[in-house]
Amino acid sequence: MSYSFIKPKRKPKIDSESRMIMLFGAVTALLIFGFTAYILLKRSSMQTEIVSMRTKTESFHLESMEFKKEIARIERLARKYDTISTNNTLMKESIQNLFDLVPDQITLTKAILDRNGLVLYGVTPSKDVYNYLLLAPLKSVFQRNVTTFYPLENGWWRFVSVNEGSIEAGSEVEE
Amino acid sequence: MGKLGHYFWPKTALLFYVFEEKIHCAFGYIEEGEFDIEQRREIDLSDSSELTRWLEEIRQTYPKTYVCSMLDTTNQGAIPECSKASLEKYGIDAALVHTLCVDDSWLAYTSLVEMKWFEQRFKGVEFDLLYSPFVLLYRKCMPMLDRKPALFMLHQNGVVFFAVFSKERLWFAQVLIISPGAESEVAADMQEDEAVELAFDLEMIDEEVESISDADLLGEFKEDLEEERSGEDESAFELLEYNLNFFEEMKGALSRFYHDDRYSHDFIERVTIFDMDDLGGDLVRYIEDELFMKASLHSFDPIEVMAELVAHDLEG
Repeated sequence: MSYSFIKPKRKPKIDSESRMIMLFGAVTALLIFGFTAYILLKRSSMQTEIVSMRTKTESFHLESMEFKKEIARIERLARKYDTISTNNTLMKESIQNLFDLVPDQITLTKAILDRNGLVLYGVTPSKDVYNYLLLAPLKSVFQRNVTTFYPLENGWWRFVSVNEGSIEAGSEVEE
Repeated sequence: MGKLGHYFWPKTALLFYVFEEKIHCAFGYIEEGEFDIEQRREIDLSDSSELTRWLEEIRQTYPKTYVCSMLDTTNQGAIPECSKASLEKYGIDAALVHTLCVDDSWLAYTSLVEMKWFEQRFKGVEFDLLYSPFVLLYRKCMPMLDRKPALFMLHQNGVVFFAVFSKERLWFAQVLIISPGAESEVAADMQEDEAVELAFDLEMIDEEVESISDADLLGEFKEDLEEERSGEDESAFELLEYNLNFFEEMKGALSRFYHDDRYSHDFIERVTIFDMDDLGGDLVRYIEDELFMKASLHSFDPIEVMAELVAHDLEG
């Protein structure tokens, strides 16, 4: 209960200078807190980005490894292809050469060319024709030559010539 | 935050009252329900702008500074009932007064016009608390109250705030004018003339002078009187005269208290005078000798009482 005729008026809680200082302080604090919050958010965002980039780098690294492996495989295949191609060319040339070796008097009925060597089936007018015209070049090519003759009714000879030795036959491509 | 604010910007108050062309001021802090006076000043009433300057100076440092004063106008009083409706019973127009119910027991009132005049008197000072002298008197005499009514008077140069209090309530209150301000000079002159005439008549009776129409004799008498009155004697005579007037006014007020049916009556045995001026002990002796009452005289500092009330009103 008041003993006064009038009621006290409301007073400002702080003086004007202090109010200015406090306002300035509040604005400064707000700026500092705002800037700190911005930096923290940015840092957090960058950390997330770093993690994401690391994951991506690892992923790229793995991809790179796979690509390297693929490149190595392709290179290996290419080399093999080259080898096969060379071998096939050589084989083709060898076969061409082989057929060039066969004289007109001798007729081949079958030829088997494999890794181990060359097996020729044919008909020759005589053993000598065979020995002089075909066996001689075959001997220069193969290390071992075994020929078996079978006489025919007309006086000619059927022969089976098994030649083993140096000619390399083309192999399959292995992956 | 509140404690911090209280530490940096404490509640302070500037208390003042006007007495004999001086503004008596006090500035202090209000802390834990108490008012600690830091500084006291006396400012000439003619230079009241100094009070405004001081207040502005204080408010720059302490924005929560309250301004409190004692309303020393004469058109105020108190009635023993705490309702505005009762004012009419005591011949007071409720529309013209501002009231304050004190302790749900009695009502202090003051003239609205005079209160506004008082507020306008100090330009640039915004009042927060205005106290009635009756409230100050009540606060001061509170520890002395008991069940039996006692007379308490607050004397301020020329004005007496007369109140009868008991522990439970106010019985009677009135403002007594002993020597009114501007009119008082005329009245005082008149009284002085009357005193001179009275003295002259008595002298004539004592000396058995022939006739008062004798102009020469009158002149001689005046000269003799002026010679007899030295400086000290003159002031002592004035004080004696003042005390007698005070005594007469007090007797008149007591008589109104005893005979006015609107008030409750009881026999008063004790008189306490709180004096802001320098009444002297003679008045106490008159009262004891003439009225057979137990009287006492105490000095009164409105600042001290206002300090208690300010602490109560702003912290309580």
